[in-house]
Amino acid sequence: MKSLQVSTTINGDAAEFLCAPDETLLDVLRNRLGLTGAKEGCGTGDCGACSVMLNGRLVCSCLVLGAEAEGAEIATIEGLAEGDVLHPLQQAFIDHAALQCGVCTPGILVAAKALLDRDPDPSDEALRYWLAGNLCRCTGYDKIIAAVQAAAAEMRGARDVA
Amino acid sequence: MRYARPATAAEAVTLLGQQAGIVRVLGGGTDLLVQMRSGMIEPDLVVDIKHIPGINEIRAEAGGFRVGAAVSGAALGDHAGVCALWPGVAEGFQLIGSTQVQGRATMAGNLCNASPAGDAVPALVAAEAVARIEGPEGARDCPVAAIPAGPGRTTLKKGEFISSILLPARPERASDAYLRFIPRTEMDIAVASCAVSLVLDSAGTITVARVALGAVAPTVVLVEAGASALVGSKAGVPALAALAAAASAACAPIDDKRGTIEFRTEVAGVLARRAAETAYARAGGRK
Amino acid sequence: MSLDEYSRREFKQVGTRPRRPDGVDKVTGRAMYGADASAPGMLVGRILRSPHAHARIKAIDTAAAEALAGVKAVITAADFGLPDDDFTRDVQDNCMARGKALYDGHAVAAVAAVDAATAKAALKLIRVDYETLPHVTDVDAAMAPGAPVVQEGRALENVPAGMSANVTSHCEFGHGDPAAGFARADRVIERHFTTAATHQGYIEPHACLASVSADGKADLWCCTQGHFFVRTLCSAILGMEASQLRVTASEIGGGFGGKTTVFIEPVALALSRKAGRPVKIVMSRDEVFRATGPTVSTSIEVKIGMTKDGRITAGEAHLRYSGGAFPCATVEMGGQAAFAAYDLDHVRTYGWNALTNRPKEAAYRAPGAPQAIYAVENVIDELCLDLGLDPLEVRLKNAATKGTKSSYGPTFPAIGLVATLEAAKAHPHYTAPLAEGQGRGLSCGFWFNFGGNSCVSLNVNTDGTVGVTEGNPDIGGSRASISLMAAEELGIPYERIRTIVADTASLGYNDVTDGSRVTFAVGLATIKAARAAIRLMCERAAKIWGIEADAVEWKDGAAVPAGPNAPADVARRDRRGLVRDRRPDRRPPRGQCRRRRRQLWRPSGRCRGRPRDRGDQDPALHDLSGCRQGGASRLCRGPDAGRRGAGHRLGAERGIYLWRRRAVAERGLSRLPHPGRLGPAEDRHGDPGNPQSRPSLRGARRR
Ligand SMILES: Cc1cc2nc3c(=O)[nH]c(=O)nc-3n(C[C@H](O)[C@H](O)[C@H](O)COP(=O)(O)OP(=O)(O)OC[C@H]3O[C@@H](n4cnc5c(N)ncnc54)[C@H](O)[C@@H]3O)c2cc1C
Ligand code: FES
Ligand code: FES
Repeated sequence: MKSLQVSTTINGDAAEFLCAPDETLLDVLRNRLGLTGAKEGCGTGDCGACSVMLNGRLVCSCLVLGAEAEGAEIATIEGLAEGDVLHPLQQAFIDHAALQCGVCTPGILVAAKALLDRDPDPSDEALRYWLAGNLCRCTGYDKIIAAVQAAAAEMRGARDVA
Repeated sequence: MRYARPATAAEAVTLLGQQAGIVRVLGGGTDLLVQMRSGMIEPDLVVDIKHIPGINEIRAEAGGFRVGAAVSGAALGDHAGVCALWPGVAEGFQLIGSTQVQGRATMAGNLCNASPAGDAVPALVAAEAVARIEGPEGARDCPVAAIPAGPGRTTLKKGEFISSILLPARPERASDAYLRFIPRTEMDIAVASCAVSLVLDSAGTITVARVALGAVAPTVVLVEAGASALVGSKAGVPALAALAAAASAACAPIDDKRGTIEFRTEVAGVLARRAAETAYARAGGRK
Repeated sequence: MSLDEYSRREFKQVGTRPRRPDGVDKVTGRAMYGADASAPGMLVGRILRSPHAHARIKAIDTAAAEALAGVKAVITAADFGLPDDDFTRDVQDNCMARGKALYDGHAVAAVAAVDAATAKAALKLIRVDYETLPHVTDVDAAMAPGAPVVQEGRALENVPAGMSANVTSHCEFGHGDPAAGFARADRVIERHFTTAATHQGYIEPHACLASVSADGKADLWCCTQGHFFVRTLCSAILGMEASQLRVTASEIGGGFGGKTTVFIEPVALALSRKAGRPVKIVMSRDEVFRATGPTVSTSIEVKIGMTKDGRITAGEAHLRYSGGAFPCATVEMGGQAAFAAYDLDHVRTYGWNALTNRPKEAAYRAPGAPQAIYAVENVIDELCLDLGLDPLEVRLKNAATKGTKSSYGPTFPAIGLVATLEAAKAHPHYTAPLAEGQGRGLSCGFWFNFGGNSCVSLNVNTDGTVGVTEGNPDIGGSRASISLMAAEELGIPYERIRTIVADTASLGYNDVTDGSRVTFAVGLATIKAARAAIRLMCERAAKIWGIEADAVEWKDGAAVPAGPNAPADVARRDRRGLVRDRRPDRRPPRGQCRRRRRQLWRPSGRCRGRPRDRGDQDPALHDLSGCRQGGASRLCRGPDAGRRGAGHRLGAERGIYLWRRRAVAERGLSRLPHPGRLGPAEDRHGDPGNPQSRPSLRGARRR
């Protein structure tokens, strides 16, 4: 199998990599680019642990080929905080104990951010539907919902002030 | 495996037509990559059609909409025009998978994956949607209903792929609806499903009806008897009962861990009745 | 106070909600889980698994795979030895089938190759000659005469002759005469239940990275609930000495009991040993479901008799469990737990374990108990329904309490069941009206708790902060609990403690993170360690101050001279900076003292006095010294500290401060330095009256 050369943008930075044609974006991120924040929980689109943004859409990176990243804009959990300042969602997850083992957390944060970017004030129901593709075995979801809502409220507040 | 990213439909057709062995079109990849991962298939060539001009677009055409084959569920859901004209098609498509899956999945992929339980298909069939197929002999149009050939099989020929799907124009007072039964609320495969598309006259009488069932036979089932039961009615109790009976009668389901034959058969009738009620209300009918 | 003595205590920190120490890493994607590690030259390990539920492996031909370019090692069961104890051998055989594949997904061979594609290709080149055998997956079918035999000769002596060879063990618990009890009942119900083998379903698949070097030293990184146990198993399987295998537990993405054993770790080690390069194995979700531990599957009959007024007259249960293709003792847990919540005169449980062609069971939340309790509680509910009794009242009436002879033998101490039931009864949820389609259920449960082995190392750092090193993987916040307990004991803020989970080379043996033991047992060890540190620091403070050890007390994170033995003039003497103990024989040789002094004080360049002789002779004392390093200003020596040589930030400083305050008060000075959390070191300005120069007693700088 001949490797493909791919040029892409990850978290705003240009990135280039070689990958096998059948290699997934998740494997590329984790094994070739050292971005291990996205996790593989299933490899089949069921758990959402591998969630990333691809050209502004939330996707499972396990269901995207690395080759498809050519010319694309990718955002991962590693780009969520700004320097040493956590994103309000990240802070809220810590404050509201919305993670236990934490392996689902990167995917949930990326997914939650995608929602809040579209809808700064989602209902709990909308939020639960939006996150239906993110499985968490430990926390029981309620705290996750509470944390996202708290972050959303904080972000709305910040925006109102600004 | 080779990965190709043709820049034109013609190039895609050539790639698809010339490669020997297993060739697959790559739409959203939400079926294909899962199948590759599980070792179910090992394609020799994957043709990523998402870079063909126009294939990611939704265009107004003759009062309806032409939906590019690479338009994702998320993109379709953002399109107010389609959602207003064909809410049942939009809801069927958007029931597929999670937000993440929606970010990638396409209607054409759902159709060509040819699962009996594909959620986008019944509403497309009820809508009399037409697929535009590019192939070695040029482009042709084909009703969506004629594409599935059986579980995992389509009527597409070597070298062919779907470039767009046309959702036709609708008169006033027309609408559609799609419902499925799953044990969970999200992220599950339909045990049975039904799409109903209706056109009403100004008095609220149904003049045109199309009823399509999913997951109860090897391919989507168009229930003509169900449609006849509705036409001429105002979706009253007897018409709905007749519809449900016709829907159940049209079922030829399998028994599996998701549902028994009896269950699927009964639920198909219930779903048909409820989908018809929703479509009727959406079309502006009042009882 | 002894540790296990029950006492009520006002906690200052336990019970607060501090930020968890692993939070930031986990929300930023930095936390390293099993699959997140890599090593230079690392190979990809992949495992070939049996497509048959039961098959004799007649031959495995690995030649073609070995010949494939990029393949660095191929192994089969032949690459492992034969451990002589059954337990280890079963674990090993589960990791790599020997002679027979015992379930669909059972590993039969493994490869290590330069990349995933090569490894995958290599697996396809391995030819396994299987003779498929009839299989059995249902426990009752496995126990029936003539059932396919999963493994021969595995029955313990307690299994009566003539049973299916799949039956490996039998157990019986109880007392009284159930038949007599049933005879007294107004209603007897007997029901049959089955439960499926359910998987723990942790989101993180098993993953490990193994590196064995040519001299036999090995490192293993893996996601596990117990890396010391991984070391025990792997060193036994690989025939290594435990000291040569260092296991590091990664962050763990859930375990629920399923990560209390090994599946891929010995395979990765064996591949690495053979290839001479690090090997990483990451299971796919499919492999997790096919080849790692689910619960037991069970078939259970429960018979319970009850009087009209809700007294249970007798209970009996027949429990047939299967832990898959290997013997397991889980049914004993079920047999013990089934009726344990109740105070019964007549009770008996009979347990059987049988082999089936399923993956080897792994622990899962009170292994074996929920299945049995589920059956018992269902029958009790049905009896309540039948007899028109309130299910809570019936449970209260029969609840085991202090002094109850349990159904499995021991007599209970206070176990809290009645209090729990009363609390449930008093809770508004128990009487809240139910909407249509809603129901309300109630059930009692039982599980054993145990302490197990725990080892904690607690170190006071040179700046007075504290490092706690524990050896139990933190599945959901135990590092926070451990830090809190240490903070509580030491009287210092939670933020000043960092608890880490150390590798197996860095700490004594720790049992697995399971059985709800960690917060309890590691917590106790932490408390012990904290108290030992306090004792040491008090002793040393006493030496510094030249007073008796029992005249030093630990208060709010500091040693203070107190009690009847604290000399009344100690403060004055120190205030004057006099060194009490000037006995020549206690002085260090001059040179050493100077060296020491330089070492101690040079960083601040402010050494004005001679370190206290005695302290100087005790190098350990310097560990605790609050000597100012790197110009940090949060240190806390008194103005005379230089002369005295060492004051330690965590504790002694507070004492120094108190003395001084006393002294100042005696001398009628009005401006007191007061203990602040922050505050630059006093010797920065050298003026005790300068509010800028507060002795920072417990004070880490707060951000
Ligand atoms: C977690 C998860 C949940 C899911 N839930 C659902 C669900 O609820 N309901 C449901 O119906 N499906 C579900 N699916 C399946 C899948 O998402 C849908 O079938 C989806 O619509 C497939 O579209 P795609 O573009 O991703 O197809 P792809 O994977 O790209 O392609 C699928 C097949 O169609 C072929 N193909 C794709 N596009 C074309 C084209 N334009 N012309 C010709 N052939 C083409 C491909 O070669 C392939 O054989 C789920 C999948 C996942 C991973
Ligand atoms: S790993 Fe991609 S969805 Fe689970
Ligand atoms: S916190 Fe463990 S899976 Fe979500």
